[in-house]
Amino acid sequence: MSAEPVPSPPPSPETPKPPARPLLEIRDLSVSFAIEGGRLQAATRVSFDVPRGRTVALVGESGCGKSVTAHSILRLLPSPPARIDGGEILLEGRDLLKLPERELRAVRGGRVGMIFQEPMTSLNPVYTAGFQIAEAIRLHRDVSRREARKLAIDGLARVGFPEPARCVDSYPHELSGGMRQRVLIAIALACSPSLLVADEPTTALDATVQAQILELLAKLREESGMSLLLIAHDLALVSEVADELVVLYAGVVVERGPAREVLRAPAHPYTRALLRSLPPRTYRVRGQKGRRLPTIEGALPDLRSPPPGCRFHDRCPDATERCRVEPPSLVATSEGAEARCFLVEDGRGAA
Amino acid sequence: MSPVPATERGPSGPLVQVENLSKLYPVDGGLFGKPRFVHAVDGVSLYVRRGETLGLVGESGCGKSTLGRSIIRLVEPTLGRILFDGKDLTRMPPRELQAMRRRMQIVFQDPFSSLNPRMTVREIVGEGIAIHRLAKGRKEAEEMVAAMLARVGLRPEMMGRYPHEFSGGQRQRIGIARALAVNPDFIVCDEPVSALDVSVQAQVINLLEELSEELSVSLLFISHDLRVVEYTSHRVAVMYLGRIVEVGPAADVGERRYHPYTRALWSAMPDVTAEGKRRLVLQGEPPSAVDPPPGCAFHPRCPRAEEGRCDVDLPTLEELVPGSRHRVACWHPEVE
Repeated sequence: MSAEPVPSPPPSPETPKPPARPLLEIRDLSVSFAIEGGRLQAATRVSFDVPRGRTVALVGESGCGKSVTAHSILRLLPSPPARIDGGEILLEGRDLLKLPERELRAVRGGRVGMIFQEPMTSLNPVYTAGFQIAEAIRLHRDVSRREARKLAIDGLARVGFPEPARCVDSYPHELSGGMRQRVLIAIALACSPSLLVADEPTTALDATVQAQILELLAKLREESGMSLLLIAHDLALVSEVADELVVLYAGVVVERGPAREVLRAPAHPYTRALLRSLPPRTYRVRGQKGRRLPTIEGALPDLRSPPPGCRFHDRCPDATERCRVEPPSLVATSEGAEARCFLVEDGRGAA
Repeated sequence: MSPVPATERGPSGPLVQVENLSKLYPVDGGLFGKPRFVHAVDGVSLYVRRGETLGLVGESGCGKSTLGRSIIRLVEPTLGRILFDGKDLTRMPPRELQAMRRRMQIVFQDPFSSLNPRMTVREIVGEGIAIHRLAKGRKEAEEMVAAMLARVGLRPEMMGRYPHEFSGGQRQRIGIARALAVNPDFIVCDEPVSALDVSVQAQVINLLEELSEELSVSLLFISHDLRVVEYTSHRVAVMYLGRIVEVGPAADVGERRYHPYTRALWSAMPDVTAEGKRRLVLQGEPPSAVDPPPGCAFHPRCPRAEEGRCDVDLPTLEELVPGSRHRVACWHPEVE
């Protein structure tokens, strides 16, 4: 194995800026879990890219496989019961799934930082915020305690603590939910990662605090030029920060593409249904009889034995016989996105 | 002064009327320390008409759940008066209150912890029917449970199953069936859709709306999600640190947003359709309800706060436009 970086091809005159290799490439990732009565296919051949300096949002409802995918990047899933059945996760061309544990540890918290949903349980209650940030720094960089503490204070200032020199000695229970999430972000950013994976970073927070954290993440991403992979169930929330959107349903990517286009003209029936079921802001006639929100009837398929055709077919209003038997592949939509649906293939997607 | 405007009195007047309700929780002031209190609910007055849905929105810790629970006396209010159909709940003897409980029910947020895992759905939904002796005999009780399950969109055959056999959305339907089984007039819905996925959330919102229309039940719809509250409610009350800061018809509150806090909550609400929307991001977090700030509790975070006034005097809820029923507690409301 050569340690040298892969030489990039020289730019041709026709394309002045060749598309750089994405920072993270997930290729055909399949993950399953051993559960009662078989193996649950939590993610099936999931593929998408996270380009450099961009924000990609992975969205879907519970059980869609978004967290499983995110946790697979740093191989954080407990195995057993989890098992990666196939695929590649390439970070700057290196397959993280094949990396020896020792090398992977250098990536965790180094090249790739991660923040989790629960700011209440992700911090160690018996150590100060500053200690936990310094710990992350010293794990990856050869600096003295004193220097690490100074860097921790800088880190707290960066994530918006008004008095970082005082808060550095605070214990987690002395901080509010929003402040704890800021500490976690400071830990994740301690070693200037090139990728930050944020798994539902604002779900446990209040609306006004949610807005603060999202704004902070967007600002930090811009300043540092890192890439952000945002995992979320709230389409409306991610729509404000994401450049690219990847929609998952029952372990499968059903639609992906530029966020603006996907939200403006969703091509997959599931994405459309999901967007429609949000209470609209313009429609405020409570008391009008017959006024109802559109819903998605039915339930997720049993992922121990997923249906052979499209995974959404039994809840889809437009499903045909073909959808029941044949799995659709991702095809380009007129909007520059891709959707896994025969309707799009037949050119009826935008209808 | 009565909190109910003259136009709201009469036969179709308020079913529930709350006057100056407060709930204080003592906190440890330390040995020999002065006892201190959390003002979870601080002098709230509101009313809910028959068949009306009143939305109550606010962030965690603002006291909205405590308020909802105090109204039906699941939590004992410290001060204030609650009139339910004209009768004062706060002074009601226990026996009479027990009978009154049939008329006021609650649906909880967490469909996982609010159903007893050792009880079947038949027992969960049938319990209220048995307590209030609403059925003549076992057979009728069973029929009532079956009808109720069918009403909320569950198959009556599922009656023998236990809560763990159901999904989150189905469990929330069971919780709604339990509340409805005793034919109540008023249901406190405490974050009924917050733990659910968006598509399931829409189903439960629709169900609650259908039921409130068909059965003319009054709902107090508590949520942190302004979008949900605005959609589901006739009127909306915005709560901050134990007090109502703005209340009025849903469309008016949503459109005018007089109170700077309502405006901030609104602006924090994500929206898929708003492209390049400028956000008003509030600084800081809600202060502690132990020793809340003097004057308007929102002033430390308020972009419009005036020194010497907002931090000194407590604003009361006033109508800016007489007769609009849209009231705001603010010295400097956002009026364009």
